[in-house]
Order: sequence, then structure tokens, then C-alpha cells
Amino acid sequence: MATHRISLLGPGTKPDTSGNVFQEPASIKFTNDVWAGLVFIFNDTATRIGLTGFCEIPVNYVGTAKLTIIWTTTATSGDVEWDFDYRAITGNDTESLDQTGNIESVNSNDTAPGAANRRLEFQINLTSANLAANDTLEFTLFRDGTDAGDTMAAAAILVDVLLEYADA
Amino acid sequence: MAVLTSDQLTHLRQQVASDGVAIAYTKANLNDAAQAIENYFETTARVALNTAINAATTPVVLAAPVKAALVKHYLRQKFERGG
Repeated sequence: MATHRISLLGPGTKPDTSGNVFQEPASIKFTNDVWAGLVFIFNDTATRIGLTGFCEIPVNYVGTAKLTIIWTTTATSGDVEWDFDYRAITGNDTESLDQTGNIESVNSNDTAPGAANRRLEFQINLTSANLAANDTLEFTLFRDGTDAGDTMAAAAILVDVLLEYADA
Repeated sequence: MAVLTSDQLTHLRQQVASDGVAIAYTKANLNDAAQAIENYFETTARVALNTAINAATTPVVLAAPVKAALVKHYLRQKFERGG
């Protein structure tokens, strides 16, 4: 059994319409202006803002599913409340991709780094049985500014969202 | 003096963060500081500035919008251009 990671982000990833989640070059908030790949910004707000998309569950998926959020920020104090809502759709001509609600909503908060722009790796366990090989995963990742646990007074810089899982 | 709304506080925090200053404080810290500035401005600074400007220009009294514009641009010059 081996552990794998795949990115959930791709061309179909879309910010909500709040205007507080958007893509920008990392160099805008970084200071050295060397690494300028696109990152997703989740602004500091008093609302729940999100990023939604689709991803295929790999053919060798067996279980031990964990959401892994790679992020950073310019702040060095406070927490971000991350929420992850998802639904996995299975089969061929059997289940609708257009359903209401989610199969699971998980959330937890992670603390700002000890120094600006340090890489943070934050994991939230998912219910492994909710996913199966070859499913289509529909998801939304939120920064929940309505939650008392979201205390960080700066934008969260999202580098990647990964699904960690074990194969057979 | 007014209690700053959630939207006003959020906007102020976002503007501070966009300046690129190091933020080793929480939302609550910045909210408290912003409200303190609002309180001080409305209870003390507004009257004091008005009195000082009127004393400097007497017998001319500048219109309130002119005084407001001068204060706004002075603060920009002071903090954005290092004046």
C-alpha cells in the first residue's frame, strides 16, 4: 500500500462571485518577485467565500482519504477557518452530476505561519467510504469568515488543494 | 462617533493588508484599533482640526468640503508619499 496525492485544482476550478476569491500571480503578495505562478487569494472577510470545481478520483483509490491544503499568508498571527463541502458521483448513466447538497462537509482551522509566506500544509480527514475509484468529485473549498475561528487579518494565499489517499 | 460596520472594518483590514505591512495581529486587534481611530477622530480630531484651520485662515472661513479635501489629501501625502 502506498500513499498518493493528486491536485483537485484544474481548468474547471472557479471562484465564487463574491470578488474576494480570485487568482493572481504569487509575486503580488510575495516580496522577492521571483516565483510568480498563479495562486488563489481568499481575502479576509466577514463572510464565507469559496472556490469550486471537479476532479476525478484515481483508478487506484482505496481509502484513507485526506484533504491537504497547501497555503500561506503574509500575516503571522491568527487562524483561517477552512471548510470543505463535497459530493462524489459514480457510475455511467446512473447518477446526476447536478444534485443539491453535499455528502459531507468538514472544517477545521489552521494557524498563520511563524514568518510571512512560509509553506503551510494542513490536513482534514474525509470519510473514505464516501469516495470510490473513478468517481467524479464535486467540491467547494471555503474560507469561513463568519466563523469565530477565522481570526487572521490578511488574505490566505492558496497554492494547491490535494487529495491524499492510499492504494491497495 | 459611529460604530464601524462589519463591511467598513473588513474594507479597512483589506486595505491595511494590501499595503504589505507585516500583520502579527488578529482581526479583532485591527477592528479595535480602527474603532479607536473613528472614536478619536469624531470626538477630538474633527473639532480640533476645524478650529486650527479657522484660526489659520481668519477672517476667511473655508467651506467644509474644502477643509475635508485638504485633510484627506494631507493624510495621503503624509502617509503615502512620506511627507
